[in-house]
Amino acid sequence: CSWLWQPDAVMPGGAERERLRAVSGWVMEGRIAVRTPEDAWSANLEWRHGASEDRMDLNGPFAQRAATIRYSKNFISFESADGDRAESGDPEALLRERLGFAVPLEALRHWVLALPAPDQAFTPRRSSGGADVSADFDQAGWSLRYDGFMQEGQWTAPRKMVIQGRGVVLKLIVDRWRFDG
Amino acid sequence: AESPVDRLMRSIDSSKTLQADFTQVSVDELGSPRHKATGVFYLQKPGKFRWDYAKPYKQQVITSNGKVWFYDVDLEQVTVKRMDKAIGSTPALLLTGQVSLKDNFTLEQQGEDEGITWVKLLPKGEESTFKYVTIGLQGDVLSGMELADNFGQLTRIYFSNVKSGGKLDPALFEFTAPKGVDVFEDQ
Repeated sequence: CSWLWQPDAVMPGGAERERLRAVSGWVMEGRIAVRTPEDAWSANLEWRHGASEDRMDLNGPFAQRAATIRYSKNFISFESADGDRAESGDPEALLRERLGFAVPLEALRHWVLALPAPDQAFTPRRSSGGADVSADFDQAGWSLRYDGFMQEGQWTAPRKMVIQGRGVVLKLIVDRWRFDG
Repeated sequence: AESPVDRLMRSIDSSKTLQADFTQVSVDELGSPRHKATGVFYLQKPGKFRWDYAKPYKQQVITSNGKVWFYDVDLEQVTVKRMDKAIGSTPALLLTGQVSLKDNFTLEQQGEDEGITWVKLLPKGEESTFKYVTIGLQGDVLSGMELADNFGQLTRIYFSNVKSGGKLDPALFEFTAPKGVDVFEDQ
């Protein structure tokens, strides 16, 4: 169906990427491949980001829901297909327990938009040419690599990214972005 | 006359091989259509199943000797899990006859419409990862399936160009990872 095809976009410059910080809500539909030292799995991901909460649905191949994660500043709830439910005030601890790896969700919200998390140090990676042509950066012990962008209305956001840190590799492919306002 | 449930059982047991095109539509808990995907499905009894998604992106689910290979072409990753561990391997389990329907499900006739008779399968086990599956038969031919997960999401699968009894290339059910693709198997 046509809505899936969002045109490729040229890698946006720093200023243009920053504009995405103004977006209050978005929905990202894509696929995630997770590799940890002990396990590997992949799922279709639907991530709804709102001002007060993030909701991530992980679906298996036949669009059957495998798990739903709800996250806000320091609260997380996890629910899986076989009825396992858990809540915690320590998001990373619950993620590690249920999914076998932990990634800072507060920062991930920004990383998926090719933005460093605010008020934390980060190091842009210069490409070999030295000029600021790459959106990649390192932050909080994680490396962010962006491999293609796509256009959605006035916004430009990543289409493919690899997020790596602490022995974990997350590969994310975005099929569709939708931004509010 | 033969009851729909018996017809379903006979049909699943009879056809040794099956091939069909499919259209899969998922509907979320609010009833709004979410995703549509299309592809081709192959079945070779006992236990071999292949589900090739062609659109909107290429994914393959291949089941053979009790394992499920899941390959997402764009992600360049293959995971190999035991069939009972693979979340969402339900259609494979049911159609390949790997699971005895009567032992594991309560079967309910759902009547007939548009020439299709529907049978609902309700899992007997508690920690089933789905609520129910409904299978539709047109005569003896597989026509549709509906999967309801425990989150209220529905997946409807419509089959067309169904061919049964034909010879299928065994290579369809052997997975060889393309170069550069990582394969991860559960220990």
